[in-house]
Amino acid sequence: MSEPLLTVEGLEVEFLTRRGRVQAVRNVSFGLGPGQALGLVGESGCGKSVTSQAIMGLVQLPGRIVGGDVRWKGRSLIGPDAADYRREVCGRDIAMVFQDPMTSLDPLFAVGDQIAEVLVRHRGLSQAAARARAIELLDMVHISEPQKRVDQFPHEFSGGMRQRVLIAMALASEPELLIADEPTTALDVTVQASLLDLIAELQQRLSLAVLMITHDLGVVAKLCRDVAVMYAGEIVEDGPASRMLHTPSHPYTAGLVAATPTLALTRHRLETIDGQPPDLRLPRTQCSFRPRCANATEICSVAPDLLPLGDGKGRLACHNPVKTQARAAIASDAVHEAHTASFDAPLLSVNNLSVHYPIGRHGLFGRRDVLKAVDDVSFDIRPGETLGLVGESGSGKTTTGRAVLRAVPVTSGSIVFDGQEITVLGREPLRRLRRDMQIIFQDPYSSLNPRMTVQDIVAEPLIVHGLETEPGRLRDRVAHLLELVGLPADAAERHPHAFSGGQRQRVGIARALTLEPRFIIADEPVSALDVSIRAQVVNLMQDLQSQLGLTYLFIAHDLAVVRHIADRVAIMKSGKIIEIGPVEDIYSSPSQAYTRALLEAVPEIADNAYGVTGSNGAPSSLDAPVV
Amino acid sequence: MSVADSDNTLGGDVAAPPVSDTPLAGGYWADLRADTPGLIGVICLGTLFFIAVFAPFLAPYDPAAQDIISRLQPPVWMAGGSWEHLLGTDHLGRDVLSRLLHGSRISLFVGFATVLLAGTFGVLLGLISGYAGGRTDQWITAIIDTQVAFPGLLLALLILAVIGPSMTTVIVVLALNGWMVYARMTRSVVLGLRQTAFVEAAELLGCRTGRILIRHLLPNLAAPLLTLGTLEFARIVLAEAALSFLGLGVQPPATSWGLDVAQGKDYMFRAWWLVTIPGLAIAFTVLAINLIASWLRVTTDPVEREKRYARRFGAAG
Amino acid sequence: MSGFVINRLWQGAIVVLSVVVVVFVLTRLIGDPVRVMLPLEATAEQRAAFEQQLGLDRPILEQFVTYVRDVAVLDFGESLWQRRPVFEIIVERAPATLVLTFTAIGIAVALAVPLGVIAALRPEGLVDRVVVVISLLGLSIPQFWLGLLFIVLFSLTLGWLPTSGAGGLDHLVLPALTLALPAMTRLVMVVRSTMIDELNAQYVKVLRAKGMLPWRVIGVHALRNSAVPILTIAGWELIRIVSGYTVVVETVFAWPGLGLTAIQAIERQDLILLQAIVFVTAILVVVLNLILDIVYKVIDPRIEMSAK
Repeated sequence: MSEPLLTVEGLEVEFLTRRGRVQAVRNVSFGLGPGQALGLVGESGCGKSVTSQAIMGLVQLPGRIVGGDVRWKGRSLIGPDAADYRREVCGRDIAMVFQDPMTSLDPLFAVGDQIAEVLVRHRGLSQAAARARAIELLDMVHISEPQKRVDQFPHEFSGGMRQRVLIAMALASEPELLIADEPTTALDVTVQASLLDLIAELQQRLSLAVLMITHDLGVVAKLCRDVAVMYAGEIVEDGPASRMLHTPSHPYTAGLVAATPTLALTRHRLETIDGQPPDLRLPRTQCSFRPRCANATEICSVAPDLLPLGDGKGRLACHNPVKTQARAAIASDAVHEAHTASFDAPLLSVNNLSVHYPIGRHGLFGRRDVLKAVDDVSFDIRPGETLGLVGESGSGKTTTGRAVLRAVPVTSGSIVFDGQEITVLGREPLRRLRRDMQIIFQDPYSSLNPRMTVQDIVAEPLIVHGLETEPGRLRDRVAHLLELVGLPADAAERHPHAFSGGQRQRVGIARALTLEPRFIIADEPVSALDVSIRAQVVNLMQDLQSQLGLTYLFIAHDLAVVRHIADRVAIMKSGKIIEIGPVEDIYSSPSQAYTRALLEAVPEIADNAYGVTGSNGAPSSLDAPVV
Repeated sequence: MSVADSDNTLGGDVAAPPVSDTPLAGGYWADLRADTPGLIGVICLGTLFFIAVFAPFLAPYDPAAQDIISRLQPPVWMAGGSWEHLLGTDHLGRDVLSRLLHGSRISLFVGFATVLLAGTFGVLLGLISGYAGGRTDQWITAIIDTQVAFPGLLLALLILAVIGPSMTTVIVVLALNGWMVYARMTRSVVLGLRQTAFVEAAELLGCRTGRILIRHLLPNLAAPLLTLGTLEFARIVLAEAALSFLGLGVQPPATSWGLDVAQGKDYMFRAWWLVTIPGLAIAFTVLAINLIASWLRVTTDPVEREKRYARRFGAAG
Repeated sequence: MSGFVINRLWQGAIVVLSVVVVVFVLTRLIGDPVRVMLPLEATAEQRAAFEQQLGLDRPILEQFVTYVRDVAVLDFGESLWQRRPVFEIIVERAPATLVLTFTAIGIAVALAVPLGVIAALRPEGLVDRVVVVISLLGLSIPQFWLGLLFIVLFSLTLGWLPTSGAGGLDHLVLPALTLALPAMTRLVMVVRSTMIDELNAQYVKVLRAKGMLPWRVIGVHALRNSAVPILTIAGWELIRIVSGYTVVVETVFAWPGLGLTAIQAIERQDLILLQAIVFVTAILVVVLNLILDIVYKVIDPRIEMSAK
């Protein structure tokens, strides 16, 4: 058994807000040994990021550490007395990579200088030596032409490249522990895959310990031998990934695993975890998961302790654990009915659509450059069908959706909706078209006017189209719509701020349905939501489709979600559709190399690098309870 | 599928504290009572308004009535002062208190009129510029940029010299100098809002331009404009005083605090109160307005409110 | 870079041209220069002669062409008050204004930056609260009154410094402080809020995670990132001082610069001198703006990129 490098013991962090103290981290304990890779998993607000910040001494007002200890090689890192020790250890022995590579580098300093200053500070290198080493480090993270790149500024690097620079910076002084806080969440899936490979490679080569903070169980499966799941500020279960990902004991872990969409299954109804995480301002009197738990009984009114499971399986905080339940068992039932039929005339037919934007010119009289955001794109969507439109950022998928709505100017091509050419429509016919064609937005926060009540938001389409003005009937219509999307009736009187992300997305769906459209463009409708909430919204959209006979254009970057909801899928790259066809065909036998690369890049639970049964018997410091 | 059992917004990422677009829970008044400096500002400005409105009834003398015999009397608390003239008299024997009370009318009226005039014009141009975009936006922006680069006060002096000083000219000149800030702010807020999904949603639902401007843009502009208007109000009160001090503002026999300071300047050594008292009145008024502005700035911005709360808490504990 | 400068020069030229047009319209079309400049008791013949002397009897378009031509070669005509070329007066008076302006902005920046940074280190802490209160007071005190209070205190009561006029360094102290303090209070708030934002930025978090020492995080990284906003506001303050605030302060302290000359010109009804001062100031403002734009670009590499 290895002696822990890092010990977190009874950590408590709270945030001061006007409406109460949020207990973000509650009594969290774990240890991490040399070369060990631990995945700290949970949904937003569960306290996983705050835990990592507490380790690095980055918790600042309004947050503060109110209890517990963090020790590095036995010496505390917490509190003002430890400030000098912390500044020595952080950056030298423990390094951290953050979620947002775009803002993590100082924009006014060359990247080489930012790497070099770590070496000057912690390794006492001269400027020249530090610079030479910075070039080597850039080379190590596979940045080409490092001699040239070392003097460039952050804005000259793409997001993925910046994350590589940040990894190089983190590894500059050869740390023993790398903390990675959602390092790939902001990046495209292929970039994510290459960065995860890089981290795995460096972990092997430098025998680094890694603490990977993520919401994505697929990422954990790829990199981590051990997993700890956090819920409402606490660790509810931990243990070897081989057990956690396949035979989890805590109902929440099991729910997370089941709610994570997978590439292997088509049109399978996702398992959901009903409800939402608890209010962390309230004192903990019962098991935090009890209100959402199917296994809950009377005993759950007493909060369970995190106790060792024995024989190296980790720890668990649950009175009524899930009986051994293999993931495959769920898969057998409830395959959603695919819309096979349809030799009907298409509802929407897009032919040779192009959208070009001017982007400056060469010289005063030179040729004007254009960005071909959408370049000669054609597809049909039949009534009642869902077409998934998948691509990475900048592929033109969102612009295609906007062009179909005539929200951006179309350069050339035709869009025929219900037998009518809509690229030539004038102002008023276009307004009438809005009644048949609506949109669901990605960001549930910015898509609702904060100054309007839900009633006003949902009723607005009826008012502006002059379809209904009588207040009583408007209220009835809104009440009906809210019921349809699973919101309580009293939601109508409140402002958007009173709702969580998932609930806001339901309001956005209700608004899109108000005019009873036949066709809805869903622009990444679930990518801003947590896994368990995402499953709820995806299921809602499927239910509404079969109830109301809706036709969807489902735009997404997430191949797994598209597999669950779409009948056919189109893959976009650089403004073009490179491949289109039925979901089964594309996912099982893609004809394009790019599609294959996309599919391979998706980290999947099933790809667990450490096996399914845990039979490899890898030593894990989690075996031993800390303290 | 069940509906959420709580309506908390704290399900969001806690590391960035859950500040949302919450409108004020208990209204402005409840928030004001928790903010002592802001409350003091509101009470002071309220009192000033009362004085300005009822000045003729409150003032013991006609502010222009001269009484050479009792000239340069000190205030009541000084040797030689009397209860006849609480704050003393000036070089023409006019009652300082009465002039002070009447002077508040000019300051507040010029401030209000200018903010209203410049604000209306600026907001209108900013809305057009930000919403219409394209050529219109380029032209309006060019006009704003050009005028911002004008030497403002000197040009104002030229206008006043050519047209002749009066209260109306002062208001027009100050408004001409000040509309650009409103236009710039309105334009940038509108540009920002146009990018937001809820405005795009409104457009795609089929809302007409007028409805989008009035229902979706203006309500979200109200708070920043209110703060800006208050700050500008303070600035205008100072500017009016400065112009009157230079003799280019309100003309005698009308009263203005700036004018009184200018007239008292020559008697500074013998009768310090002639300069000090009207000057204090200006500073006091502007301070009250600034206190309100800084309260408004924090209180209408949920992010600022949350930060202030946490800092206070942190500083205290 | 050169494309950027040419672009900015164009904008400057448009500003100067607009000022020329506005001044022309103001003085010739809206106002009546004869009425303003000649005494009330002037006879009809005197008025006609004066009109002819200024070319006011010519058609308006011709007047404008002549006017623009004269301005282009800095020939502003002869001052009615001093009976000598206006340009001479301006050259004589301008240095005093420039000395006062740059001393004042120097004092303002030198005080505001350290105060703002210290306040930003502990928002709502003791230092911060004191700084905020002082700057609120500073924002609220009328500048001319502050000048008079300084005179009463330091000249009349304590007798440390001269009340007015120009001379040695001691004459400069009070007017420069009077100009500097309000600018300083505005500037300190900007330094404070910019530094608070920068210290909360993600890259500062990364620097802390790298174990960088506080002086380097604050003094090198955060301060350098704050430089553009701080310089922008300092530039505005400089331009505000140049384009008007000196008038008030020079009047209070009888400081013989362009501002005082402008007020004297108004008192002597010398429109010719006044409009010349407006032009020169406009040109000065344009030049200062140009210099500031170039400085921003030197500091921030991203601005250079976007201009390409």
